[in-house]
Amino acid sequence: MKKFKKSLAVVLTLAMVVASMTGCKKDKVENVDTKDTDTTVVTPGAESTPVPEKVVVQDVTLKVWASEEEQEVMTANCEAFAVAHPEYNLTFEYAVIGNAEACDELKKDLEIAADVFVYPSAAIPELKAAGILYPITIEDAEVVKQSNGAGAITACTSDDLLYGVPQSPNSWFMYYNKSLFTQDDIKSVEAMLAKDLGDGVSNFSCKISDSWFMSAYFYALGGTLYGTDGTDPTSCSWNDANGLTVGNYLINLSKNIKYVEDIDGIASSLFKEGKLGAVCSGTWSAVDFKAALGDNYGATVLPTINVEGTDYQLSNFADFRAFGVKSNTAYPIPAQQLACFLGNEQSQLATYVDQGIAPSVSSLAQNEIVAADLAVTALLQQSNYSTPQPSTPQLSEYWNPAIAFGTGIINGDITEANLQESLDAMVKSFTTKLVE
Amino acid sequence: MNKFSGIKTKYLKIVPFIGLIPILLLFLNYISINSSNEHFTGFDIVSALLKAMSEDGISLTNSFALAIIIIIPVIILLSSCIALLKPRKYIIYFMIGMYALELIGIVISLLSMKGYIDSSKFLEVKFLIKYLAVGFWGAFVIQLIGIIIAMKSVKVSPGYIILFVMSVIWLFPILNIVLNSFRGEGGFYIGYFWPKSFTFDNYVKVLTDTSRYYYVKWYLNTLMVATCSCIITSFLVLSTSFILSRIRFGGRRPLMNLLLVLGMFPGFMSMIAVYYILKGLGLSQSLISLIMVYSAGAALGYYICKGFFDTIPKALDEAASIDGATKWQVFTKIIMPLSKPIIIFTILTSFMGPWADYIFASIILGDKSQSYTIAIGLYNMLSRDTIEEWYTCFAAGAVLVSLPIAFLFLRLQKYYVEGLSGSVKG
Amino acid sequence: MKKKLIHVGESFTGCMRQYTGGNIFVKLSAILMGIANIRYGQIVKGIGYLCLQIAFITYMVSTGAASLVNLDTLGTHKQEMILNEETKIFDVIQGDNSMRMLLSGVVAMFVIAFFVLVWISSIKSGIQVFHLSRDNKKIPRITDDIVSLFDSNIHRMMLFIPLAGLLVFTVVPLIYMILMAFTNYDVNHQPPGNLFEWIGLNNFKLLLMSKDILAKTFWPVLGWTIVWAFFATFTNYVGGMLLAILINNKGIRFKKVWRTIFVLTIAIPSFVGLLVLRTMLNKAGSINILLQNMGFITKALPFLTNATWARVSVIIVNMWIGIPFTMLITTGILTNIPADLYESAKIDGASAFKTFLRITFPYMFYVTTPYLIHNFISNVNNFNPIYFLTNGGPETLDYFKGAGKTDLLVTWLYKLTSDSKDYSYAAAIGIIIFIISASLSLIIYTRSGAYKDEEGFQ
Repeated sequence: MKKFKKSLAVVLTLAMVVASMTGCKKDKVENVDTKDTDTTVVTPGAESTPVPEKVVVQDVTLKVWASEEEQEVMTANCEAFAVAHPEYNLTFEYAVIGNAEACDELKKDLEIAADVFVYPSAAIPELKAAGILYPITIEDAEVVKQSNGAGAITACTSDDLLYGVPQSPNSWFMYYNKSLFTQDDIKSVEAMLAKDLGDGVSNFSCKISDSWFMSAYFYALGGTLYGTDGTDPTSCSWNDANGLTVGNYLINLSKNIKYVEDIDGIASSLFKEGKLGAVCSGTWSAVDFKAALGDNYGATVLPTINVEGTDYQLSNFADFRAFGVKSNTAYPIPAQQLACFLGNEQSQLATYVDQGIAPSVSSLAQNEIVAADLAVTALLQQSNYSTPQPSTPQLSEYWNPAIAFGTGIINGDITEANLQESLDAMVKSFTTKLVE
Repeated sequence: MNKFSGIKTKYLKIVPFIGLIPILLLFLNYISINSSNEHFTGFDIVSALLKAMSEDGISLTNSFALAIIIIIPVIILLSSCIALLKPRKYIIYFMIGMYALELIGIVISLLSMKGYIDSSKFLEVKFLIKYLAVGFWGAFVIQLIGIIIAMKSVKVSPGYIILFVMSVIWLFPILNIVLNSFRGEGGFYIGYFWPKSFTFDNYVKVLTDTSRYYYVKWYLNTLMVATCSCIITSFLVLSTSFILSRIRFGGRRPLMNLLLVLGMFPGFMSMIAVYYILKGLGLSQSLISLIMVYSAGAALGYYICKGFFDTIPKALDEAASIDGATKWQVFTKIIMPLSKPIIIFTILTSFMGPWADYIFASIILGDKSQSYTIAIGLYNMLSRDTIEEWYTCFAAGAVLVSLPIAFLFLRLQKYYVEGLSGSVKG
Repeated sequence: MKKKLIHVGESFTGCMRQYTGGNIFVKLSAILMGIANIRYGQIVKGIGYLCLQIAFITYMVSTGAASLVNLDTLGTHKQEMILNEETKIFDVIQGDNSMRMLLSGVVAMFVIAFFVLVWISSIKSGIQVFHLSRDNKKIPRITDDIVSLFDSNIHRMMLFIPLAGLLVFTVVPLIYMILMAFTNYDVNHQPPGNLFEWIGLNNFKLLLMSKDILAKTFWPVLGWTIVWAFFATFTNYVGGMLLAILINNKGIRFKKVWRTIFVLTIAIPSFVGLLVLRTMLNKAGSINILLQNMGFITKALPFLTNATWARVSVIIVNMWIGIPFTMLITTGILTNIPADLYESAKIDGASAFKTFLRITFPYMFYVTTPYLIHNFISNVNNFNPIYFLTNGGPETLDYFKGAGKTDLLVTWLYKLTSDSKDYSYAAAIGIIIFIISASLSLIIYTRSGAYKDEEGFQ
């Protein structure tokens, strides 16, 4: 029995030790699970005007995402931000996530996501519905709204709240071979297709099988996707009479031997061999096409299409790369300020000079360095003809059926016979939700 | 079989006749275009070629075409007659060589015929393969039969022909990658097969250009992950298979069924859950977690190893335990040394996995680009923004990745061939 | 089956009898684990059990109980953003994250299950030690226990790590995924902004029975998956076998070289080879260009853009990848066929074809039956060829969202997970795939000769 009492004493002491240890461990896990966000941050004094008397310097750590090649210029811009805000003791963390991957990474794990990141404004409906974005409402936002064009701000706004600071238009226009087409030719698709450029040379290339490009044709004839302002998830006019006309136009275009579908980067190779007149693409191809065409490099706005005697301007989706702030950031005000700063004129000019990324700030369009860049000028001019991307979350249902429709046309599966049927099926897929 | 050893005369007698037929076929149509009613016999083509040669001089293409159509068949016919009179092995080998030349020549001519005929404006319309008529195809088939019979007559298996053709088919895409990795002019899409210029630049760029891709670092990361997970996985698989094969414990059968069945879930469904579990354990975004994930499913692949162990007689185990060995000693001192083939096989297959896996690695590593594996790097090179510039480097990178694996496979070939034989008996 | 249940029932009642027959310490060990062990001298083991019990109680008190409750509700507070007039920014009030709640609920369930097992084992161990002391037998010390781990209990030691790894990284995520199929976690219910909830069998109804596009997609895709698995397995098997026989033939020299050439394709990471083949098969890819230059065709062949062509292309490309591997396996078996079988056949004057039909093929088939089944099932789930070659295309309006005409259930599942974030449908499909694969393989495998440990063949 004595042995038992002794063992019991040992056991109880051990028990207390273990309890305290496991208790601590569980606490730490708990902390990670339910992150405590101190949301009311009070900074003494206004945001950026330095106060002469005692300024309480706040420690701020901000994580920033940018693509690999933009890391340098992003670091420089962030350092400039730090200089402009002496009231913060800023530490920056950088990681490599570009425009394309940002949405997926944000949805995967918001806790370790960057406070400020670059993402496409087209994703605003879905990210906002998922509660990932922080509305940008500080005073600096007013400056943002003034310095950018209306299109940019509309693209980055939802329900009257600004969710992103525009950095660059992310859209497409047309490149062409100056030795093959004159300024008059490139104004309309018909003029381009009519010109005889020789054997084995294609005149015009686009990517109908990509839903991002295909919409331009429907928008040209005034079709509406999700209502006239893009907020009605049940309405789409693409299967009405106009839509039928567009469908037929696309079918005929794909069958035209002077047209080639731009898949797998074929356009670049054709340009190099002088076998292509014009192609629709964006600024990501600028470097490559410039190398391929040399002195014959030209870029311009999208052409018009001629349907039943009238010319209609092709109208692309107005999409923008924007700086966003995540909703569970620990430093909402500094993060919003950083986002606005990274999108201001000075930062955009630096980014353009370093990486050739087109700026969205209106004043920079007149800047001589920028104006000399054909691709950027074309992009900025095209934004006058762009249609704002729909802001309803239902937009996520648009992309796949549209790809299926475009692919069907290119493959010849969709013909005039089943065109109306296909259009109806497509519109139905756009506008229905499966289950609540 | 006669006194001329090694030659089967029953085949030998047929060969001259086979050699004669292509010559006869020259009388038939080689090219016939039904729509415009143009027909050209073999002799027509020969005379056209001779005319071209006299006008434009002897060119490579002219002489090549002439050789294929008439010169080599005549040589074959002559050598077959000689072989019939004086059966010697070397004569027949010579004949087989000529046949091989002829057949390869026909294939090459098939590839380049259109270009040649179109440019020489021999025909009114553009040339199409369907215009080739009885004469041509007949000659092709007869040459094929000829080489088979010639090979059979010297007891060389005609299987070589099939193997040769299949090898060409199998190596074709690999050749494509290797050629692309040396391609001097960059870009992704090209309309031709053979590069216009060759260079080492792609390799240099992929290894040294770190503006976007830290290839060397990622390569080393992957090497480390592959090695560690290979060691751990092999050990786990081998021990699990040993236990399941040797120890009869309660719940063994249900466990085996369970393991079999668990392996059938598509792994990536639960990637997000695995990510958060790792995060809860404090291991997210690290290479160690990648190793753990790769090794975790080790037990699921037990049945190949178990099959092998089942073929090792249990009598050995019993003898050892009579001598006083523990089960652990049986495992390490008796079973393992006998299982070299299966160990090597297990190590090889578990080593290969991390090099090719993109999905798991990209989810777990997220934005920590320093820790990426090579699969993520290669895959990212193909994104829309980068593919034009980096496609040839992608090919170079892929070749560099394949080299160690290919090397291992070749060196250890005899082991895993042996290893799988005992395995699949279940 | 009935026998097994009876067996379990008997052992349970046996345990209960022993428990009630034990003394006070045994009874106490139900409440205070390890007490019996300590009483009878197994101090280390007893303290171990006690620590585990305390750890478990701490866990339950701190997070476990909450996780269970959350599992039921899957969150009640939605994320809110309220404009703070003072600071002019929104205050973000974090809501419940349904996904994390589901996961921690599953983890909690497993911890509880694990603890129950440990609890039962502690009682059993208490009973055992009680009996030993009552019968005055030697009570094993901790060192004896450790030694036995290398011998009689070796299965406990060696299976522990792999099974633990499986549990944490495969089973827990699996249960999580299964449960997800009964929620409505899709693109419209993304955390952290939204909550999702239990909806029972709705997803399955939609998938299997509704007239909706989801069902119209599911059944055709399932049909193609089975067709694909059959053809892929069949072509690879026969092709590999024929190739192995060809190389193994006595007349062929340089066997190693030939085998090496084919094995080279295995060495390249599969997605690289598939992407290269994809560029080659495109409308403007090398193969079409080659055929056009040779004059075979005037217009490009739609290898990957026409539904039927694409399906055939995929099967053929899969042969390119798979035949070397089956060749390796069958080579190994071929070399093991007893040579005397062949010799006696030769003496009887059988032709090569007959030898193949009567000896080689049946032997191989018998030996490789488990492999064939396993291959069929893994082809049902064969992700790489389809995804990287055609990306499931060509896309069609007949199918739901991103599904295309060459999509398998797995690739469709992946698209639903990563592209459209419709996790609940993906999970439901995953479960259905699993049910099909598992039942098929269990039925066939347990009936097969190999499983019943038969030896010999004549």
